[in-house]
Amino acid sequence: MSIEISGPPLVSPWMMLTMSDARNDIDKDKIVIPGQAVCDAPQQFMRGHGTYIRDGEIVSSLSGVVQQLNRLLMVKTIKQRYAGEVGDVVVARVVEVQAKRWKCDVSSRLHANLPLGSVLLPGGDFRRKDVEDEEKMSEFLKNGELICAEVQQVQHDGTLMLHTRNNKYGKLQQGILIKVPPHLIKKSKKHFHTLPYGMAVIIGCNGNVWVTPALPETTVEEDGSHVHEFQIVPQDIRLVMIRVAACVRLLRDYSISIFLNSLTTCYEMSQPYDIKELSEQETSSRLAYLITARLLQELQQQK
Amino acid sequence: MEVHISDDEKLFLIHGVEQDIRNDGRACADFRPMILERGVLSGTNGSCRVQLGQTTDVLAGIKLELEAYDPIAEKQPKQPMSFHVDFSANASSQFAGKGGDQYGEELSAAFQVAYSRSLDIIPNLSKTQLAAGYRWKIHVDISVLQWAGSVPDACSLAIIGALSDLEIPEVDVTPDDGGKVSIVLKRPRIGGDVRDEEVPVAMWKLIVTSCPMLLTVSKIGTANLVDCSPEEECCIRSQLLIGVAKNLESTPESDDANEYDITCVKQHGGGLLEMESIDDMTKLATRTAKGLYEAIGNRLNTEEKRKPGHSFLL
Repeated sequence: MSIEISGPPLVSPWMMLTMSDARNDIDKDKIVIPGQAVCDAPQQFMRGHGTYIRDGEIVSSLSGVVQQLNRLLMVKTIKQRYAGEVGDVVVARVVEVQAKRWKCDVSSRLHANLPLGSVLLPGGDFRRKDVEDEEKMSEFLKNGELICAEVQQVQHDGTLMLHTRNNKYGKLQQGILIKVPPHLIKKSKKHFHTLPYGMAVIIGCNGNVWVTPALPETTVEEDGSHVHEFQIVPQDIRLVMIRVAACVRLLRDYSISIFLNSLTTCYEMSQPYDIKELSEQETSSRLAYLITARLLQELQQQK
Repeated sequence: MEVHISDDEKLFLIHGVEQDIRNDGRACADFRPMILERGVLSGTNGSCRVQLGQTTDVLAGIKLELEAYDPIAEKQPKQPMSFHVDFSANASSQFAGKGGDQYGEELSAAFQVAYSRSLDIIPNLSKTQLAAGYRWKIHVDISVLQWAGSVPDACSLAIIGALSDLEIPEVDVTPDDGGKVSIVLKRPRIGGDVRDEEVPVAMWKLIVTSCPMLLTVSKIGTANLVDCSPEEECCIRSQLLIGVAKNLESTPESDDANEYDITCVKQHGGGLLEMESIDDMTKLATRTAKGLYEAIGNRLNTEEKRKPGHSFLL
């Protein structure tokens, strides 16, 4: 039994970040708030997203960082809901079962759609398109279940159309879901990672990180039945999963971007500590500081 | 924040709990790290804010009232504390409108029961009875600012913190005409050319080392847990609210069972429990209470005084 009551933290995570070098490469002039002029010479530029023209000046309508693309100026907010791009891997939760589609929560502004036709049935069965089939299909995914999918299309209003037409996508089984702000996810070629510690992690572009004993494709048998469904996860694997989950939370709390390298670095550096300690203020802030230093060093070496 | 989790996630969580490994690395009897600060509201006589695991956030404030009552109608002195728990709609969308009212009333009632014997439990609480017909009434108001599980535990810690922060003015009671009494604030003479009104009023504090606590003990699978996260609360079979108070008459040598009194047991939500499980759960509650009393005692002794007039928001 461990019970600890302390005072309010003396150093907040964002204060710690200003102390580290991690944020020094952002030009302070490029950070704007609503109503602030974006550039000095408005005649030479065109206004892009997040800006408007007031008295001949290009002014920001958001708070964020100014980005320049040739002559186009736009403001990108730092913290916002997930916008979605075609090809993104997302981890979504089914919130509504409708006649011809599933509605999924992807922590975007609107719920995403997963049409009945866009799923791959276990074992590669073909569907006959009738009412009976629709009823059976709606039992395939139930309310509250987690799926892993790819964004197939972004509609005009920002609704995402998902598909799971690949063996690696589909229903997720046992594991831990951690929600992080979507901007912390670093886009990369691979979002499915089998870690060398005996478990796997899916880093969804929408900010949902899924920590699981094994990736979906490996749990589906040839005949499509989920044989591992009710198996108890062994204790050693469970401990590793929980440590990885704690690492993701630590990276989230200290606004460190989440990708394979940062996760494994955090995991390796967290080894001397108990999993419980990782959520404690003192340990986590020290660890976060060391991790950012290590990641920066690696980045500079690559350059 | 209503939490939906899938059956497979629940399965993983329940298996883990039965192996004494929770999803955040804690064991079943562990609490999340807690933060407690006192003197956070300048408009109250005593206040305290408790944060559990950086999410559940509870604010307690105490206001005193000089109450006149009819001494003939009330033979037995009444318990002077009253509780009110309010769930902010900011804490979770499920508390919007009247959503949190029922749970709030349920909790206030539970605290009322747990503190019903407070005149016996808190050694110097009877000092609030000033004279026949006059007493201090202690209004404890609790606001839940953020909700992420185990609100009753956080509330009871906040109440103890606020009670320890509470300063009650010393008064002089002098007999007046017609069997009445007049009550005047006591100002110690400090000499010098200071006017009487500028001398600070003498204050006294309650002894809180034995204040009752309300603890939630939940049954998930076959395991008993304290301090559940929202995900864990989805998997709860049944939950007990157990009020525990330190027994002042017990000696340190006596065993745990006598050292702590159970002041109330209440089931929250649905589910059935065997008699045996209830026994186990109350035992866990007393063990937890022991740790909590130690932790809160340490914190209250070591806390530095906050500058007056500074709110916790700053």
